[in-house]
Amino acid sequence: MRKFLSLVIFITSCIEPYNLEIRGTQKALVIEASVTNLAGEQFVRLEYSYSLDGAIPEPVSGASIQVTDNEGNSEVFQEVWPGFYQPSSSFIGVVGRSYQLAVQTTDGTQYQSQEEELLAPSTSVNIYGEFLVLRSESDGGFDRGIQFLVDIEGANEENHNYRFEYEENYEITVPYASLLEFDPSNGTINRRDPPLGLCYLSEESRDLIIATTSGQTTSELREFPIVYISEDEPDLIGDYSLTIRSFRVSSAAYQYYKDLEENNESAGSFFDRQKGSLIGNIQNINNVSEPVLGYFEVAAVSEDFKVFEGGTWKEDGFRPDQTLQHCGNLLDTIQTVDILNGNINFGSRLIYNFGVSDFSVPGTNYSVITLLAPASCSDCRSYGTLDKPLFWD
Amino acid sequence: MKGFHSLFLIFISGFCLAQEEQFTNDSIPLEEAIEQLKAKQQNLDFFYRSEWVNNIKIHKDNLSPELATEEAITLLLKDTRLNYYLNESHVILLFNTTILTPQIREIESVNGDNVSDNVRKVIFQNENANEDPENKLFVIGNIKKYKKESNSTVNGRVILENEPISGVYVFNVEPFISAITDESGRFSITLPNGINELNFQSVTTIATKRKINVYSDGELEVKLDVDIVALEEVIISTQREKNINSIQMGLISLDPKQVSIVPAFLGEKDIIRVATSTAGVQNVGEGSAGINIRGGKADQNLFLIDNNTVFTTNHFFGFFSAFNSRGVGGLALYKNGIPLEFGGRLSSVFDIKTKKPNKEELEISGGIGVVTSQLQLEGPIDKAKTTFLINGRGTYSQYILDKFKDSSIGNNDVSFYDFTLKTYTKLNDQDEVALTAYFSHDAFKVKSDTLLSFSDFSYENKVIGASWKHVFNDNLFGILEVGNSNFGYLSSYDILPTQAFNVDLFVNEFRTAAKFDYYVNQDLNYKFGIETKSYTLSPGKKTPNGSASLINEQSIDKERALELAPYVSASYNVSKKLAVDGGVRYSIFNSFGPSEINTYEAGPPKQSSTIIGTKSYKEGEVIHSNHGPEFRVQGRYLVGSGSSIKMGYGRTRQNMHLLLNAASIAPTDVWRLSGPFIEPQLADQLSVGYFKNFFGEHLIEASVEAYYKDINNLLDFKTGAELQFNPTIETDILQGDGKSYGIEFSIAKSTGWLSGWLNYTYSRSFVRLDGDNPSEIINGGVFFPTGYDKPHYLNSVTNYKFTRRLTMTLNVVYSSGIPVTYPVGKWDFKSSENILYSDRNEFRIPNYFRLDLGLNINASHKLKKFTHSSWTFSVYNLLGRNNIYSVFFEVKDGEIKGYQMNIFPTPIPTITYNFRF
Repeated sequence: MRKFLSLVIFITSCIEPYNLEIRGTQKALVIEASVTNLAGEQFVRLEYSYSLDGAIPEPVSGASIQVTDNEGNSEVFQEVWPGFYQPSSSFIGVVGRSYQLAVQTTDGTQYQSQEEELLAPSTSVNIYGEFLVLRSESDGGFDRGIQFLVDIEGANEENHNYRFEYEENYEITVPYASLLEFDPSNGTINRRDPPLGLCYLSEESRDLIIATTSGQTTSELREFPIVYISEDEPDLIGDYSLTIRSFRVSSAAYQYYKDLEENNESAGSFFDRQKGSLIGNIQNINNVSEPVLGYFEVAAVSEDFKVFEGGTWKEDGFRPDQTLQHCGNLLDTIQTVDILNGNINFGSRLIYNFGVSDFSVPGTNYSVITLLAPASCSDCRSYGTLDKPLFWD
Repeated sequence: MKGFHSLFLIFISGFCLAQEEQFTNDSIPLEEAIEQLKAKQQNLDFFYRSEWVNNIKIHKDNLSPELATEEAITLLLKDTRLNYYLNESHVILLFNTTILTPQIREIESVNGDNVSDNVRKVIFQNENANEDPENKLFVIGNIKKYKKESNSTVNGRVILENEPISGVYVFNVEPFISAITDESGRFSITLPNGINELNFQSVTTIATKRKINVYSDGELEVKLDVDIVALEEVIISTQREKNINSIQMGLISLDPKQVSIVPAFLGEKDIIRVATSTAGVQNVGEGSAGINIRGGKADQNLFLIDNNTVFTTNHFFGFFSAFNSRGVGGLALYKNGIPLEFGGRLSSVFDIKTKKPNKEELEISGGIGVVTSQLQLEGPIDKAKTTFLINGRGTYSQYILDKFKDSSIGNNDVSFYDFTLKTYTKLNDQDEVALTAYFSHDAFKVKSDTLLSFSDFSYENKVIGASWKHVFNDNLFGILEVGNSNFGYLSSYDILPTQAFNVDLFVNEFRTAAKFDYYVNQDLNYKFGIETKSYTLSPGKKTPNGSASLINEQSIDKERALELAPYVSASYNVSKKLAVDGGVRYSIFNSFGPSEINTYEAGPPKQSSTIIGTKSYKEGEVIHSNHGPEFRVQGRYLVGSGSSIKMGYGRTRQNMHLLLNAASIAPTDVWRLSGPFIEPQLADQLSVGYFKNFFGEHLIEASVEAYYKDINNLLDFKTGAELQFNPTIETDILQGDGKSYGIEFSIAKSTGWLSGWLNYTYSRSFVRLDGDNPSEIINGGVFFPTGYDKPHYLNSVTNYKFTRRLTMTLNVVYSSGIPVTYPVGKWDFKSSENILYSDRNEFRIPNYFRLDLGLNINASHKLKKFTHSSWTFSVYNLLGRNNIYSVFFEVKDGEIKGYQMNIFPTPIPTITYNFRF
């Protein structure tokens, strides 16, 4: 019921960050398990829940783990690193089969999942972005941005449930890209190749994104929102690509994720749903009341991406803020000769370019000076990498 | 001939009702008997006033003309109030007096010469015939039944403008004995024989007194006059002694005067909010409509406006109640001992009556506040045979929006208004019809922070009701009521055209009731009748919004049911000290098709995957039926002067359930009926109380009430239950046992410069959810605190009147923090942190404390002034205490964040101008 959050904010405007006071910690087993139709994507992660102020969870090592299918095949998972288990063979899931997970921890406790069927993957995913003006969450104004959405054709009449993961790749440019560098070994200023102006950034989704076609006339998914990028974010200044991995999951898995999502979000009002521990598809076979966190997900995965050139939505009125505009004030003009003489301590500054001075330097014929800029304005590697994503042509 | 002169003086104007003895076939009219006597004893001449003998009948055995003259006349008048004076052949009849004879003189000399404290003065002749009733002496009873040093009971009736008036405080000065008039204006008071002075006080009338001369049990009728000046005055004296003498326990009755003394919130006087300042009534907090009564859930309260159900009782998410207090005549809140005419909710009944319109003249009143404004018009039409009242109220100001600069909502995004109409038409002395109409509308727009959230909401209450009261005779009247209550809401989403949809739902209740009140005598009163409610609910219908929408039209089957509830109750005064009141209501509930009901596998929990089929029910076919009696009984025992002990037991049944898993009520909550998957909720409450009034004329009322409540089939929900638009709600519902108990201390002073009340309640409320499957077992299947369990709750209202024009009020609220389900860890899953929650309601938020200040200034007290106006200043949360309303947690960008929400952490000043002309 997030929709109420904003209303309550409006009538109070007094929602403040609250320091999580630790009022006791509960330790429960977490099993995150995945069987898909893609090679290398089968794994089981075992660890314990941890304290609210804790940094990393405690892994559960030494468990014996086995996945069996409804045709009697079974696959043993080996511990690859503490708490992370993968099949030793090139085992992949087969569409149409059902899988069941069995886990036994070192103390002999046995856990078993319900059977989960590997459903057929989704047909191709159409990714597109639309310019959208939304009311701002933080003030009375509006947020302008691009909403990326997906359409998935319906293959048949049955319900389709999806979990999405996405990866964004985008260009990031700095206004005073360093074109030159000083080579102190021979005292020369050389041209950089490549210059440090254009880098690439990659970000992965960290939220649970789920969709269902349940409740619709067709099994096609239309205009399902994946990610929203507002004008004040740098992602869409240059080229941008969105890669979407769609996991076709069972309706039970969808329901679990939905409950998990609800459990993780709050409006802080009386409209909130009841919080508590969720019951997934794995349980302690000797003690069903033991809470077991996590889910055994069996899903067919398909991956699609689309590249959008910078300025795609310019016509619609989308004008991303040119960040780093303050950089102009941070330029330093330096006597080139001082650099050549090795008298300059660059610190975190890089050479942007030469400039022409109106005045020749007294005692020399040089009218050329050198412009230095801080790395944040001249070196795109402060943000990303110079390597272009492999799948960009 | 002193006595003879007095004959003409003793005529008592019609305030005394003749006490008619019941004669049947054996009776003959007195006048006829006199004629027969005259026929036998021809020498006799009778002198009397015809009105003394009109309608008086005597037993025919008392007519014995063959006896000697004096014996015959004595026998003739034996059972009447008449005496006689025989002067030769002249028989002079005397009405309720006696010509002084040596025997009578003896009595008088006892009174006059040997004055003893125990013997009251008796006057056998009226001293004067003063036209002012306050100076007149009224004679009660029959002089022939006079016994000195004995007590007699005066049964009285108080009327205001020919209408009986309830709640009038009647007291005798010496000895101090008091009573309160009931709904028919009746009161009963037992006094020592002789001269007494009865005082009559009420909020709306001019106080008066009557000097009475009590001979024996008898009757008295008192006419009161409207007090016009008293309007802004604080008088709660009508309540005085009522708490002691009334059998009813667990009752809070409020009138508009009490409303006016509690500091207005955002300029709005609110009778519901005032009710939450009384003992045992807990409010969830600001911005919440939820009221929890004696450990009951927020949907267990029946709100009635002139006996018609109002489903959503708040505006603006509970900041304002849906009832415009200007048009409210009174509120009775029953926490136990709910009268048997009411039923259908477990915890309480809020019986709200609209104000009786001004009968004398057209009156316009209104208020201009910072958030809302309102106007009310009332008065007589059609030569006062019909009176009407109409009022309206609406938001018009952005004050509240401007108060919070960070508003994410543009102008006009929150609005509400309401209207009330009330008419009374007196057809004749026996028949009166009344009409009530009520309409409320709320709309608000919510910024969509996730694309698929709803964005526009609106909801409406529509109530219309009519009643016809017929008085069959002095002892029996009946009321026929018909009404329809409708609540509906609409929410819509239209940001992404292909996903655009509307969701609407409604609840409709058609109610009829036939109620009878049979007053046998002052000791026995029967009430009986039948109430029927026909329900139609649409729990949700989702429709595509626009042609581009891919949303499938989908609706959850409508629910239909009929509930019949005959009832009978009696209230009986067993003795002067002991009175009991009780009866039974029998609820018969049937739900009907057409409907498709899912069938589930027998063993596993109900969930969409365990549906094995559906069962179809045809139109009118019974799907579900339940019935059962609700016994309710309570008693009062007077102990000593000004104190009583009361005890009560009551059962209630609830077949209409609001799906809410928080303590509060949201307009988007969905009502559902009992059915194959929802059992009726049952509550049994036992309570005991001690009531004592003391200090001077019993100015301070104190009470202690303790209760224990046991609830069956208390409705609750699984973790993460989806309550809205859920076609398989049974997969998310849990029902378990509830229990709550508490003790309520209350002290109130209702008159004087300093008045107010102070209440402290210690109470607990628990639920146990112990199903067959892990998802149906919460907290290991043991009792745990409900989300509205607040052990300590203290509130007080202190009113200080500096002058008649200036009044200050202080309001204090303190309560324990509500239970919360708190994070006790985190866990990683799908590259995000997730919250691990504690057992349900294992922790509590910090305690709540608030102080409000109000100042009321009346412009003028002049009676003849054309307009009456007043200014109200109030400061809400005077100390600006940062009360934590809730703490909550969410995962944002993969990390757990904690937030606390404070509503109104700064003082909120408001000003309201009220006028009346």
